[in-house]
Amino acid sequence: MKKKNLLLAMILVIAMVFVSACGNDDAKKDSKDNKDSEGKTEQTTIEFWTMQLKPTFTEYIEGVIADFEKENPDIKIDWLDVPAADLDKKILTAVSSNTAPDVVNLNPTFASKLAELDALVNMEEAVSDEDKKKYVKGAWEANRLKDVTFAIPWYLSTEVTLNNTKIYEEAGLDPEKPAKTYEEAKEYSKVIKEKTGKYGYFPSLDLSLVLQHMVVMGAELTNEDGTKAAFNTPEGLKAFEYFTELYQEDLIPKEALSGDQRNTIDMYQAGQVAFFAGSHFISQIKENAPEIYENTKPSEAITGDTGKKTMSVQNIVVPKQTENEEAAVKFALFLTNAENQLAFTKLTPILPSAVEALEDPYFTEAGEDAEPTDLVRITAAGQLDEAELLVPPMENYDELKEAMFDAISEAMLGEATPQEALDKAEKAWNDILAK
Amino acid sequence: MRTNKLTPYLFLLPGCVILGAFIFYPMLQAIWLSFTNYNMVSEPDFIKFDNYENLFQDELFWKTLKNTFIYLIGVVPALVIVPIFLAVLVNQKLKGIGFFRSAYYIPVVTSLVVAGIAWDWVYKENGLLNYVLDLLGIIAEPIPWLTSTDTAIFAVMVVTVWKGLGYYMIIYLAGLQSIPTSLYEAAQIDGANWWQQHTRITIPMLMPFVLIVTIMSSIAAMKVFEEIYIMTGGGPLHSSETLVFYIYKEAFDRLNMGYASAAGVVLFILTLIFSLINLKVMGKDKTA
Amino acid sequence: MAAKKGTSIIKKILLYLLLIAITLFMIGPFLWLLSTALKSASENIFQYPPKLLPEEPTVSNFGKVMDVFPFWRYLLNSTIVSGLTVILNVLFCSLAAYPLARMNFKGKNTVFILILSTMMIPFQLLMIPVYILSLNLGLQNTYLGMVLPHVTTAFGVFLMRQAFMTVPYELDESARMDGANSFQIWWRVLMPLVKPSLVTLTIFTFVSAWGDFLWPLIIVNDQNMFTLPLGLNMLSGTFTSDWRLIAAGAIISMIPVIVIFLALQRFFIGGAMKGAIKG
Repeated sequence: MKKKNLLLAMILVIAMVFVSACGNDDAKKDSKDNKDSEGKTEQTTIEFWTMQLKPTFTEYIEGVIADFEKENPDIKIDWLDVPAADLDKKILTAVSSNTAPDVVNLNPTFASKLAELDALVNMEEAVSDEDKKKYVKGAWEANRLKDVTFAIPWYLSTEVTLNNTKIYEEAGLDPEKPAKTYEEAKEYSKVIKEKTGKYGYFPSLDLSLVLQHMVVMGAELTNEDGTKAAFNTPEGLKAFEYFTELYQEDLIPKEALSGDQRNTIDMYQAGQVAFFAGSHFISQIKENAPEIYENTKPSEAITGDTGKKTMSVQNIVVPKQTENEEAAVKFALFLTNAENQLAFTKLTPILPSAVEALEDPYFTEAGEDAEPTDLVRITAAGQLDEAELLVPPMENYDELKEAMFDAISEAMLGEATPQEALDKAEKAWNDILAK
Repeated sequence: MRTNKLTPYLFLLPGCVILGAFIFYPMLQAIWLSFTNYNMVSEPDFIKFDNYENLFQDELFWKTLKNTFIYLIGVVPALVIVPIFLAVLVNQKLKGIGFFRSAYYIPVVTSLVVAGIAWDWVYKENGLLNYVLDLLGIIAEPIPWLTSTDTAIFAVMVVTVWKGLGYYMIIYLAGLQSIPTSLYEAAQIDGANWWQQHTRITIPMLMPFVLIVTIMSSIAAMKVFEEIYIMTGGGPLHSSETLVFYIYKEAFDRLNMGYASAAGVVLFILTLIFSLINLKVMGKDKTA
Repeated sequence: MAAKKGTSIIKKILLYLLLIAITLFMIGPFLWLLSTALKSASENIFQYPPKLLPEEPTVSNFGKVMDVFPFWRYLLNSTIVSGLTVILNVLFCSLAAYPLARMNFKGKNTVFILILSTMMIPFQLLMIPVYILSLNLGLQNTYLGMVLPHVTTAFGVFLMRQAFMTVPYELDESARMDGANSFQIWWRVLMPLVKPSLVTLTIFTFVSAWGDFLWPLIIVNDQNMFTLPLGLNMLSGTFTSDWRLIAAGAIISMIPVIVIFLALQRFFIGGAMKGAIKG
């Protein structure tokens, strides 16, 4: 009798769990059935994921979706906003279980990894030539890996230097003449360090930035067909020597080595750094450090002998797993058309990838009451013609990037001479490229 | 005994069904994946021991393994011993002791993403720690705690300890409740002082809980990830990169799930061996 | 803990000083959080040297946080998920721990080791198989999907096992003489005696369920099912991150945890159950 009680209790508990599990199962099936019955009226549902745009852009995205659904009554868009830091994990679990969304906003690095595995629709085939022409050429070509264009460009940004005019003045420098080249950046840093004890330049070395700096300084990353490293040259060495010198002479903060942009922005907001490349952070500075924002003056990106300037592209991809490729591409094109992009760029300092949108006076003329945010936008747009994607998508990119970062870190920490470090990086790259 | 042979299994059933389905079965799959080339997009492809061979040839793997052990050795003793004192301290009948208990528990529930910034203030070149050390005349030059290969991993360890003290304190606090007051009364009559009372009664009676704290904190130390991810990103020059960080990077930055799983299996085996030794050694003390 | 009679006032003061010193170390980062959350929009929160006291304290940041996402909806979701997880977890873990602590049966050690071993592989490696399993069980976008994988933890089983081991055997012997079966002994004799450990397990389970981020994010695609941590994540956007709001959000999400802790910590009263154990 008592044992029965025990047994009963156990069975009850387990049953409870599974009944409720199955209950939900049914519910899920129901909703699927619903979809199926809707399917009879030929309604397609597109799952659309963005990278952390809520809540700032909720209204905007919902507006675009509403417009699209109005034009295409047979297509319904399900929008999900995913935290940027974990989008990769979420999309990988979805792809691995064959439940990938139809349209996703991804950063180019991660998108190129998926493209490497042939998981993304080739836009070269999916988009008509006429539509392709609507995008800035460099932006469209930025998403190319081995003859496949794996994404549609969404918005762009170019690098803009933010200068703390107050520190310039304290050091007796003219804020109207911000540092324009690496050499100037070094000189300014020396003056600022001497006069104020603060840091001048804070170069970010995370993500692909080491590679970018090298290209700007005139080094080629690989040979034409991408099979061998080509940066072990006087130019490459110069890049390594430059940062090593800055670091060892204490002209840039030690945190530069952490390879984490958070340090850069925090120190700028703390008023301890005079200039850094950070157009992306201007809104943040406005929110967190209003007085620093007031003193901020944007200027063109710091460049080297090549005069090269970098452009980065955010994009929209369509995973191959989608069952509604046509509708998905249609939506992706709609989202990135000139009209919608222009509206988007009015909300935040980014640049549109649609040619037509760029011609808007919004990107060319600064008003009387222009704030630093506006100036950042106009400066960024102004150098778009000269800007290009400096580090193209490459296979095994993450490993290449890390090898280079490790090498330059060794040089900066004094564990190897710049030349030794460069040799080491070259060897590592050749090994990785040979894979 | 009227206990039916089935009884123990009935008690175990619900828990084991859940653990079996949601952890054990996935674990077996991860072990299988460690013998494949799996990128999460295409189907896994069986490659026998290739992942393990590559793993053992990777210098970075050995380095992260070494770092993991440094972490283990640095963190576990602190997390096993210090919380005992804290638990004894907050187990006293004092006014407002509830406040202190909560205060000590707060690091456990403080989001590391946000606490990381506060810790940055401590570790910066011109941060709190350098300021204090300079004031005391201990250092002449500020030390870049998080960006020097000599100090980064230890700086992160401090954060782990800070975050863990309250957690293990609570486990001990629960343990302390099961020690009969009569034992202390008897000891007092025998003239034992405060120290003797604790070494002769508290510690031995707390052994089952010392065992769990040792095992839990060792497993946590071997799996440390979040602090590293937030504070140093494994740098500089991988000096603070631990095995789980390496696994994470391989899995999600490089999409080598099969390879990452192989590293996970190695971690699993090492942790298991370590825990078994712990159970053997410390389980002996307790003749329950 | 033996309360020493006639503790002198000096000893007490020293004790409090020690308690306060440790408190400062423990809650330092939290104070930074609090001060950031209270700072008004005109104040630079990254200024150097850092300022702990806000110039013009404001609580408006807390209100703003609640407007960013459907706060009450997400709070409800979090409460349901955490509540369910705690109840089932405490129940299943104490059930499973009982035979492991106090019975002899075939395969006891093996079962115990197997249970422990489930803690030893990082979740990131299990995520995909667990996700596929949950999809097949139809758990996507459900509360149960967020709850089920966490309703038994090796830690919980282990903790309860250790707790049951400290209870003297004479107690169940005498209960057995009175005709109680195993289930009754577990429920009526043992469970009341291990309350402090049950409380510990409750707190720990609640904290981890409440703060869980990655799993709900993976298993839920419907924004109405989001939990608080997923909502709080929206406070830092792609182009913005106002640390005042992030800090305020972090504090809001800590409040329920601290309330529960404060409510439950009074079960840690030395000697409360000693009479029963003496038996």
